[in-house]
Amino acid sequence: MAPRFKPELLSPAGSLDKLKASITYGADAVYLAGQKYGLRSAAENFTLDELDEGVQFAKAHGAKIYVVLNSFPHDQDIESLGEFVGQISDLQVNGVIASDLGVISIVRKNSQLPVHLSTQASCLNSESGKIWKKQGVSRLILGREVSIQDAGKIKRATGLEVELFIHGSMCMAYSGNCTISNFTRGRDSNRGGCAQSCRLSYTLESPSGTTPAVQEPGTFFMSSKDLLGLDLLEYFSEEQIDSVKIEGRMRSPLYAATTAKVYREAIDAYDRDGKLSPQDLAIWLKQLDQISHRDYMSGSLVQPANENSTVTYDTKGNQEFEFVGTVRRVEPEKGYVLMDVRTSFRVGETLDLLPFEGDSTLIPVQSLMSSIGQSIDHARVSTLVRLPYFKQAQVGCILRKAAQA
Amino acid sequence: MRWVAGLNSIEDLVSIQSSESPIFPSEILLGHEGLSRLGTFTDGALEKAAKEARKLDVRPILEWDILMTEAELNKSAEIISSWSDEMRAQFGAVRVQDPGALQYLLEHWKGLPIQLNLETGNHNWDAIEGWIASGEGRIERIILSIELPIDRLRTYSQKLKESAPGVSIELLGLGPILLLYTPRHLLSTRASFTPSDTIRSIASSDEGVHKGFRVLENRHGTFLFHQKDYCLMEHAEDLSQAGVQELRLDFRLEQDSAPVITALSDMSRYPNKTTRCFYQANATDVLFKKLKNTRVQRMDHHYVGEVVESSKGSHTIIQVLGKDQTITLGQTFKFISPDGHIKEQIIDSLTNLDGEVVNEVAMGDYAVTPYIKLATARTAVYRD
Repeated sequence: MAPRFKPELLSPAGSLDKLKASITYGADAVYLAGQKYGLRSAAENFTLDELDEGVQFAKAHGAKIYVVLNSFPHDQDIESLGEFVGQISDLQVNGVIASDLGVISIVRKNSQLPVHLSTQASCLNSESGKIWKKQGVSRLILGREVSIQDAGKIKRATGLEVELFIHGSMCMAYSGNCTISNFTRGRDSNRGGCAQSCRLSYTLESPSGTTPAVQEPGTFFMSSKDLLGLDLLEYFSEEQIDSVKIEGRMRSPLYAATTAKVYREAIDAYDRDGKLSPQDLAIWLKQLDQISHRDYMSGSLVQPANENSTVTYDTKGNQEFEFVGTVRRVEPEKGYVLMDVRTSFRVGETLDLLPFEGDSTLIPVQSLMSSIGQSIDHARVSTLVRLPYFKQAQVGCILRKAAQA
Repeated sequence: MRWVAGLNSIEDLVSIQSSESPIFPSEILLGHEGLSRLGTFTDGALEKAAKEARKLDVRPILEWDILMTEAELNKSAEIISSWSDEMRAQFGAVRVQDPGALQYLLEHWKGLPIQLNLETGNHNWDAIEGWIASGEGRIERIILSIELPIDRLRTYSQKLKESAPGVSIELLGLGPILLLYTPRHLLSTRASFTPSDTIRSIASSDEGVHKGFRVLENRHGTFLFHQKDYCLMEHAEDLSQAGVQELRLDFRLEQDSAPVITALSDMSRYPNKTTRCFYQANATDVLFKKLKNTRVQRMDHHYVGEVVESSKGSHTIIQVLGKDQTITLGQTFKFISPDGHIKEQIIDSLTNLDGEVVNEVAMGDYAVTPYIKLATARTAVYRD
C-alpha cells in the first residue's frame, strides 16, 4: 500500500507575532507580505529586518516562508520590485506568491525563487494551468471555485504542485474579479485596499416590471460564509494536494495559533491512522467554532458553493474566546510566568492556555503581579504582567479567555 | 476610431445602422449562451446572427468570456467542437479572458485570431507584453482595463507599435461597469426561479456610495454593475490620438435598447447616469497610507526595539528587538510614538525586570528605565 500523501500546512503571518504563533503551533510554512506588493495594506506586514528575523525563526523550526507579491500593480508600483525581489532572495525565503504576469516576469529576471501562482489569478482549470506553467510558475494556488477532485486533475494534467484554501474567509467574486472598492471608495482592492463592500447589508429591489421579482430588505446577499475543510482532509490526501492554506493575515495571533494547531493535529492524525475519529473531529470543530468566524461551509471543495453559501446576518463576531496575550518568559525558579496583555483581565478570572500540543489548560488567576513584581489586581492592555508559575507554560503559548457577551 | 458593439440582437445592429448616429460598428460581439457571460444565442441563433452580421458588413466576434472550472471548460469545449466547419468559419475572431480558453484555442482551433480580454488587472507593460507573447502570434487585439488613465494607454500604444505592431487596443467606450463576477447564484434563492432564467435586481446599502448597483443573475452566476455607465464618447478623438483603435459599446444589460441606441446621435439623451472614472488619473492607492500607522514599523537598521509598557510616573519598559542591538546605560535613543511624538532621551538608569541594576540589555530582553514621558506602548526606539 502506498504511503498516505501528507499536504503542507500553510498558515497566515500578518506580523512577526503571528508568524511565530503559526509556526510554533504547527504550520509547515507561512505566507506573509512586505510593505508593498501584497493585498492587505492594512496588515502590519514585514519590513526587511522583520522578514530576516522571521526567516531565521522559520529555519530554526524547519518551516518555510513564502512572500506574497500578489497585487495587480501599475507600472509605477513595480519600478523597485526587482530590487525587493533581490533582497528577499538574499534573505533566503522559500518562494513568492504572485498573480500578475508582469510581477512573475520581474521575479524570474531577478531571482531563482520558485513562483507560486496566487489564487488572485483565478486559475480554475488545467488548460489555464498549462499557460501558467509556460510562464514559469511551479505551484498553482487554485481559485476557491475549484473542487478538491478537480485540483487533483489539474495537478496530474499540468505536472505542477497545487494548493487549495482549506479554511477562512472567502471572496464572493472570482478572486481578482472584484473592483467594488475601486469604483466606490477610490481604494484599489487588487492593490490591497479592499473595503469589504460585499459584507454590507443591502436591500434588493427588482426594477419595475421585471419578473421574477426580488424584494428583500437588509440582506447580506454578497457576504460569503467562511470556508471549513477540516473534515475533508481525506480527499485532500487522496488527490495529493500539495499544500492546504489557511486564510487570515489580518486575524489575531489566537486565530493563527488555533487554526494551525487544529489542522496540524488533524493532518498528523490522518497521516498516522488513515482516518479522523469522530471524537477528535468533534473536538477540533469545537475549537474552530471558538475563534472569530462567520458561519462555516465547505465552499466549493466538493460541490460548487451555491444555495446557503451566504450569511443571513453579520456573524463575523462569532467567537467564544478572545485573545488575552502571549507567554513571553517562563521563570520556574522565580515562580512566575511573564505575559504581555492584549485584553485586560482581573484577579478572579480564569484564563485558558492553548498549548502547542494537546488539550488546553484552565488557569485561574488567583494572584497577579506587575512586570516589576508589585502586587496588582488588574492586568491592563499594553502591559507585561506576572502570573504565578504553572508548569504547562511555554514561551510563545497563547492565553485566551471567554469572550464578553 | 473603430466601434465594437455588444448587442442583444442583430435587430439592434440594424437599428444603429439606420439611426442618425455617426457611429457605425465594424464588429459585433456574439455571445453563445454557454460561453459568454451575457450571451443569449443558442447554436442555431449564433450561426444565423453571424451570417446576418456579415451581410451587414459587420465582423462577427465570438465571445467566450466566462471563467471556467474544469467541468465548465469541458462543457465549453463540447459546444465548440460540435460546430461545423461552416459555422466556425463565420467568426472573424474570438474573444476570451480565461487563460484556459486561450490555451484551448492555441491547441484546438488553429488560425482564428484571438482578442484577449485583459480588463482584470494587467495594469503594467510587463504583464501586457507577457500576455501578447503567450498568444503565440495569434493575438490581434487586447482589451484593456478602464482603470488605466489615458497617459498609460498612450504609452502602451507606442510600445505596441514597436513590439507587436499587429496588435490593437480596445477600451470600453460606453456601457455598464462590471464590479463583481461570481459563479454563485445570489438572487435565485430570493425569487421563484429556474437555473437558466435571467433575473435582475437593484442592490442598495445604507452606506452612501453603495446604492443602485444593478445585479444580474443567469446560468453563469451573478454580476454586479456600477450604478453609472462608463462613458468616454466625448473623448473618442483624444483616445484615437493616444492609439486606442477600438471603443466598445455594450448595451446588453438594457432590457429596452431603443433609448440607448437613439442616444448615440445625441448623448444628452442617454438614459443612464455616466462616469469616466479613472480616464484622467488613477489614485486608488493614495489612501493606503491611512490604513495603518507606519510610525510603529521598524524603519531601518538603527531600530533598537519598542516600548512594551509605560507606567506613568514609575517606569518604561523597552523590549530590545533589533538584530544585534543593545540598550546601554548612558546612551541616547530616539523615541517615535504611535501618535507621532518624537523625543530624544538619554538612558541614565537601567534595570532588568527583576530590579537588578545592569549596564546593558541585549536583544530579546527587557530594559526597565525611569518613566519616559510621551513614550507610550508601541513607541519605536532607535539608536540616535
